[in-house]
Amino acid sequence: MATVKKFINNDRDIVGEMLEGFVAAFPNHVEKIDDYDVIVRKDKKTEGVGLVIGNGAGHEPAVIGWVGDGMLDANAVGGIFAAPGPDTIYQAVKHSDSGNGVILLISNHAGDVINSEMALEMLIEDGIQAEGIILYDDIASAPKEFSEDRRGALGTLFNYKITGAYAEKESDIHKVCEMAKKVRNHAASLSVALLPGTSPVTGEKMFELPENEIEIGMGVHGEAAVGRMKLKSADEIVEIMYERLIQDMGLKSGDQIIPIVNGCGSTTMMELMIVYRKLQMLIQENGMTAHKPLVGEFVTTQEMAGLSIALLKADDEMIKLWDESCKVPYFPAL
Amino acid sequence: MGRKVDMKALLLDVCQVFQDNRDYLCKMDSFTGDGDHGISMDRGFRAVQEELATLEVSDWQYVKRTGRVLTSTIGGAIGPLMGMIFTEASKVFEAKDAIDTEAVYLAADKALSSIKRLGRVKEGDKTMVDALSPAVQALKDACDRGTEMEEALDMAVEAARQGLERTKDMVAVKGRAKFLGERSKGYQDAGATSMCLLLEAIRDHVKKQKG
Repeated sequence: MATVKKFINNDRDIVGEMLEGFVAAFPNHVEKIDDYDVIVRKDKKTEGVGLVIGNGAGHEPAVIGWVGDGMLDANAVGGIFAAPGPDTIYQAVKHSDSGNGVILLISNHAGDVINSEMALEMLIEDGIQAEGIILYDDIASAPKEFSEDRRGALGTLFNYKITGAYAEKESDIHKVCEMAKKVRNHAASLSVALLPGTSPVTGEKMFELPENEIEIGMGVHGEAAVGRMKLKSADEIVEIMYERLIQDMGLKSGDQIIPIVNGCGSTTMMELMIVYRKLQMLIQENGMTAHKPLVGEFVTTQEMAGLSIALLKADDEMIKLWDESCKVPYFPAL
Repeated sequence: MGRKVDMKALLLDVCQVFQDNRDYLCKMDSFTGDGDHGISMDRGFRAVQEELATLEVSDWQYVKRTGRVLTSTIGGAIGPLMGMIFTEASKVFEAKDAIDTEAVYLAADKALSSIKRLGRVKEGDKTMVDALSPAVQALKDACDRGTEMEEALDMAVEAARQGLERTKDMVAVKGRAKFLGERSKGYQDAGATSMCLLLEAIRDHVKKQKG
């Protein structure tokens, strides 16, 4: 194994120490529950429906950064790039029940699905009302006719915000489930990688790419993907990604779009803004409107260089919920 | 027929094997996955080792506890699937004083069914199933022929090894490797490698206990 050139202590302590630091840094927003790697919002809901997700660590601020009032009630955290076990997810869901049930969002990756389904079985056995909703949005990972095979990626952030805002006041779990599905079904994302990140536990680069090539469709764990090509200008790359996205989503003139441009870890804000400039130009050229975008680092893969673009075709209800204020550590004021 | 197997000693040997193979399993995972499979297995089996060290229960309960610890500490897809092997095996061993070829076959067969159901995988998907499934078939054949447990385990290990070899020609359709498509060909599956190591460790220990 290679030397790990990162600010860590012992590789077995990475997740625990990160969570300790996170809770210490945001004492007004979040807490950690005893004995489990579960981050919960500080002020527990008294109405509405619980909203929870589990995920592997190493992608911060996803997803711990969006726990708090107006977004997620809890996040069950696993190992580095590994979904948490069913016990951890169980605790996160149980803690988040205010009496109206809890929705467990599941980002579509094998580990997340298996552990979440086991947790749901345990919860239902124990009489806790819990519903699982699988989220998927990465259009590179499966064709549109098999969209439920697509993996969960940047587009899941739309759900944390919009369904999170909705679940804050709506106490009918079925209505909240419908909202989660609606958001999921109107979101899509695509990513492009330039350089790999390094695993904090093995010290190894997470994939290989020839010096002057890029890869479109790279997964958030640096899974090698479908299409490689020579490095192009920012505008050309954005055009390719945008075309793929609007075709897949069937977008047309008059549609309201919420765009997210996400840096994967070492892509600079400078580059992200150059990318967003072009993305907004394309949206407007096609007669669509871009509503309150997010541009920054949201779902990272260590110091991977690359970016992802997620688009949501939003109706007025989704726009209103997107705009509502929230109190979480890492969602910007819009 | 059959004999008592000291499950605690057997499981502690298995724990050691996964600690010894940490780097090797990471390497096997690095071609098509994110290269941390060995670390995940090491984390799980270290936790099992700690748990068992102070535990004094009946043989099947060690097996059950191992399943529970692996499920909660490994994480990812592999955690619950690896845990399932021991959880299912413990159900078979619970009713038995002695372990024989049939008990081993039933345990492995139940584990296989559960892994396929929970992981939604089948033979040929380039997963741990491709090592376990031929091993189960070998155990069934051994059972039908009345083969002794030690020899049956030899046959299971050999079948699993051949199954592992065949994963090199398979295209991954599950886990992170699936996004590689055809590019996942040429590499043996990391989960199937672990499955072989597990079966070998069990075989070696059972032979050692017989002396």
